[in-house]
Amino acid sequence: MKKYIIRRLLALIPTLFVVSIVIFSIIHMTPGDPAAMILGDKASVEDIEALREAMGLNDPLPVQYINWVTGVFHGDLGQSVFIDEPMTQILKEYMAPTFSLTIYAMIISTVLAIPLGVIAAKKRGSFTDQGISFLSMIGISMPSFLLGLLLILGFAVQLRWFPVGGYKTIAKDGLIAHIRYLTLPALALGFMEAALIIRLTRSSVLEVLASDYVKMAKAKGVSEFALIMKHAFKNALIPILTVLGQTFMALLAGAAIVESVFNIPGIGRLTVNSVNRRDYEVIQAVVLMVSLINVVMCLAVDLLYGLVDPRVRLED
Amino acid sequence: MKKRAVSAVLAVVLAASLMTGCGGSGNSAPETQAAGGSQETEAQAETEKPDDGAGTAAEQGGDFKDEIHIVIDSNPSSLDIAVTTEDVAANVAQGTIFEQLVAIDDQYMPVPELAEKVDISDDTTEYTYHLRQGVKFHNGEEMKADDVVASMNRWIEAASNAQAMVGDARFEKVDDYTVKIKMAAPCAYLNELIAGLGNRAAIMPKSVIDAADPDTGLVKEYIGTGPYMLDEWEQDQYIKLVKFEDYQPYGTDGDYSAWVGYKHAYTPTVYYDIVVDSSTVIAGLQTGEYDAAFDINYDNIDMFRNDENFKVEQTLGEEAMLIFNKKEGMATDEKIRQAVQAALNCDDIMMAAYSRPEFYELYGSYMFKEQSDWYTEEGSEYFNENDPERAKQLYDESEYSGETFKVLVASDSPDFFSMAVVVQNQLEAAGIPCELLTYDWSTFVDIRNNEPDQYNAFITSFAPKVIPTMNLYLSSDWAGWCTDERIQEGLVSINTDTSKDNAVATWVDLQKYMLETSVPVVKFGSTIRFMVCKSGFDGLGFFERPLVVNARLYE
Amino acid sequence: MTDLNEIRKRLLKEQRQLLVHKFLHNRLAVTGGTITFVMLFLALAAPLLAAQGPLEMVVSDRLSAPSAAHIFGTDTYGRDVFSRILYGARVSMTIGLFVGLITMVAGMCLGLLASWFKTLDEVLMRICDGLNAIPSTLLAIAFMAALGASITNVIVSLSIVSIPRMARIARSAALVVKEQTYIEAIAAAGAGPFHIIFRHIAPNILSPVIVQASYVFANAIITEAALSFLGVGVPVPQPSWGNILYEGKDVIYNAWWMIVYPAVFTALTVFGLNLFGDGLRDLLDPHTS
Repeated sequence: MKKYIIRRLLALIPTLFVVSIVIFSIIHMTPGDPAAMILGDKASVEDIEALREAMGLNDPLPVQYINWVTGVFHGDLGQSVFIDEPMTQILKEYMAPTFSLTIYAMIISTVLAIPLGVIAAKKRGSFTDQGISFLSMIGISMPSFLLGLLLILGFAVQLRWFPVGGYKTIAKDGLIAHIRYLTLPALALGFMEAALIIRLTRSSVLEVLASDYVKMAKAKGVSEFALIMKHAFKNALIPILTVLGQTFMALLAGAAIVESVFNIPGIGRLTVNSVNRRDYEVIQAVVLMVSLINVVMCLAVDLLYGLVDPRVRLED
Repeated sequence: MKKRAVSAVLAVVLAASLMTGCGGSGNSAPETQAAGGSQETEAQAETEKPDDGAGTAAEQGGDFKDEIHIVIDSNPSSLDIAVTTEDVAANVAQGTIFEQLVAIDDQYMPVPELAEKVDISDDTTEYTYHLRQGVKFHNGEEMKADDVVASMNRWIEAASNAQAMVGDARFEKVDDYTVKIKMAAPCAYLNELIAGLGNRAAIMPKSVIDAADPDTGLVKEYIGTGPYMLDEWEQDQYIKLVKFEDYQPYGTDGDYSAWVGYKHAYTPTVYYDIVVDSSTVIAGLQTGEYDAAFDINYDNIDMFRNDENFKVEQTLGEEAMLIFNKKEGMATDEKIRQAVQAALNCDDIMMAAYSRPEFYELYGSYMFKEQSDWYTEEGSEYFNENDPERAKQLYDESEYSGETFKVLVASDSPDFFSMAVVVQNQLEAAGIPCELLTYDWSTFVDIRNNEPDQYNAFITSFAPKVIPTMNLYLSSDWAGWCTDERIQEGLVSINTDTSKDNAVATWVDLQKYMLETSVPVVKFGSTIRFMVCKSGFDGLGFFERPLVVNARLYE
Repeated sequence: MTDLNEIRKRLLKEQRQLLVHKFLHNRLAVTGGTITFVMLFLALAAPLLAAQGPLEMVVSDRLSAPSAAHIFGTDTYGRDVFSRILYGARVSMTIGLFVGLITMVAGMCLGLLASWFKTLDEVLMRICDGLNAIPSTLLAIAFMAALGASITNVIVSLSIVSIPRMARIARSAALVVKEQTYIEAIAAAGAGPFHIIFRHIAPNILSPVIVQASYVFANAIITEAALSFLGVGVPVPQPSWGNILYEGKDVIYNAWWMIVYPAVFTALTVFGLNLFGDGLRDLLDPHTS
């Protein structure tokens, strides 16, 4: 087990290396540079060129890459051209809304999805089951930004129950404002994941219900409700839990666009903004960090899977 | 224009109706102000009472809020407005955090701000600035000649426009409260340049300038002499300014015009909320989260006009233009440029971007109508010609006939973008194949500056300039590369002519030549800009940007 | 050898007939297929169905609500939204099809090669891991910024983003097939690796690959809309569903029709493709469902 974990951790190194090369090449392939952004629209060509030179943007790319990677190994993630704060502070600040949104979306999707999935499984083939399946099918087909736009149109523009967009921090504006501002984006973001979890819950519960030991219990006269809650659901929870890990990553990725739709200053917006103003080191740091979270999460999910389900052998 | 409005503003006489302040919540106040050219200034200058609006509001017994929220549409890359030409940075920092030796009033005339007075030698080669004494920076230091010399020379280094005007001359200290600059050649418009150039001539402490980032040249602290200090900048969320208690107003109480005059800083805290998305802005205004916003989507102006909780103010906007690339490709041919100008229906172009005829003006003069000295209708018959047949004929006569005309446009400026879409449509209809090259802003600037072989024209807009020679699109080194000898000679002669009448005559000739023959640009029209603010506002001006220094928001 | 081949052909034919039969009895797949087919039809027949060109503008008619003349209303330039949606279907379908095909072919080749050559496997899979680790939307945005907005570049970016997953799926399917005794037999008979890979393994991994391709198709449509919505996808003024939404967002207070109709069309198409994909999976690959 220990050996396995170490091997997996070592495998992260080439992965992150590839990530760093890919992202570095893409953004330096991109035309435009931060110098022009700093100086603004009406700056002269010579002024921009002089600033480029001063900022080291004219150094050969391999040199710039090595400088960056060396920095990262020394714990220096780089410096934003536009935000005068240490990179870790920037990441922390922008990660907060994204995490909040993601967790809220995850709560919404789980609270909504698991009971629906269980009900659908219990009433397999009934009208309710078909209705729930249909709903989840729609959910899977509804990209979050589309749903976001429709929610804005309905609940913000027409009914005015929720704000059109924006973000409030708990510290400054209180929990209620925080939740109010994040509700529509979290719904938009969580709906598709909810749909996936409904399907998964349904099939897991069905699978467990069909297993011999549940049949046995049923034969022994255990009531159906108790059966579902105690045996079927508990056992079906294993795959669901592991999928939640993946859901978290999917939500984190989806947040990029939802944040743009709802004007939330999270990590996705930061990336889009940084791409727009060519803030190279921020993009590099963000992508590296998100990728790291991603692979670590995958590893954690695998380990968790191995722990809860001894049938899964981790050694291969 | 909306997203990236342009740099320098300097025009001469502007219609008062275009630039009322958000003055006065009382019933009588708006009329008084709309009628007077310089808003509150004339009416209330003599009295100690601040202004009418305040009077009425005070009589109503209301208290004003201690914080106001103004919406800006992007996160500035820096507030170092001496270096960056970004408008959003100046919108937050100019006149609030930073002040200048001279700044413009609502007649677009330079007026001393941090200078007590300015002496100009008769041949306009030497300018001497006598500084106000006892002016404190936000860090407690007193502003002295060393700071001013450092700031002004840094400004010259940062702004190639300024360098072009002063040459090798730099500011020098005469004594602690006097600085001067001596140029080799006459320089009639130096104060105009200092007062309103895109790189703002912000005065900062020498210590801050010395500590600037060696790579980018940007200062690390934003310390000025203005009535507000930077308190907190939450990136992508808001910029919070608080009142600078040691600020000493200058001028006469109640005498405030455009960017200069007596600043009260009534409201202790001013938030500039950064909201990128326009529908969020509108919703936020309606829910009361934001108190004022400008350059909102034109389609929503009416909604606020009909809402008694809001008032809508307007100011002169900019000239929207198609700038030909005269360095490479098909637009180096006069015939092509004439063909494009002839093909366009400017009404449709402006309508697509600004939604209704009342939101823009159509006329051919390169200088604004309000700039009576320089405004001329010479050559106007070639403006908005809307003659596809003549266009096609000119195109066919050109050696580039058959080639596709490529228009470069930034996809993140909705106004320009709309114009480009209509331009393409009209050129195609005239039988001139046209392609749009749309890029995000950064790539747009890169290609525009460095890859002239890629495109034939681009779209942008320009704020009014006090003299025609300051128009960037006529410059031979800025993108577009207007190298036409006759134009360049004309510009030099305007700049050096001691007689204004002669200079104007030269310009009139030049404009005719440009509209008729050379066509360095195609002007689409002039815009009007709007600010929506709560009707409880008093003293919130709108001159290129919301002016908060005397603003009060009554409940 | 000829006998074997003939038997195999006959078996394949029977299998195919069975599949068609099963397909027609799978309600989901038929519904999904129908929706997809209708969308394809709308895309192809756009010039016949649209009363007006998608770029034809009457600026004075801007933002008019749905009416008999413009059943889906007009946009900010006075263009007919219905016509733009129809032509937008062309853009979406083209992008979806190309991305699906390119991803399928490239992903399959890479997966197959990786399954056979050990060193290549190591390298390719590390690269795939790297690309997979970066959230696909962010990667697509970065690619689009680098390449510039155009339909071709959208296809290229989305393909690059979806190939790694496809390669992984093809590889694991191929690894299973590779262990089969008949492959060993063919190898022992002296067949070259490429012959084995492309003649014998490839046909046997088609099922999961095709199923995945249908999801890639659906996903490409979503991502194209999202990229265009962010302003980095299909360059305006070309009609695309994402572009209509992008322009509609600014006038959301004035023109609901610019949001609702393109949203419905996008969701419906993706819905159809997902159903179709699920149906295919049930048919071709019953164990994975």
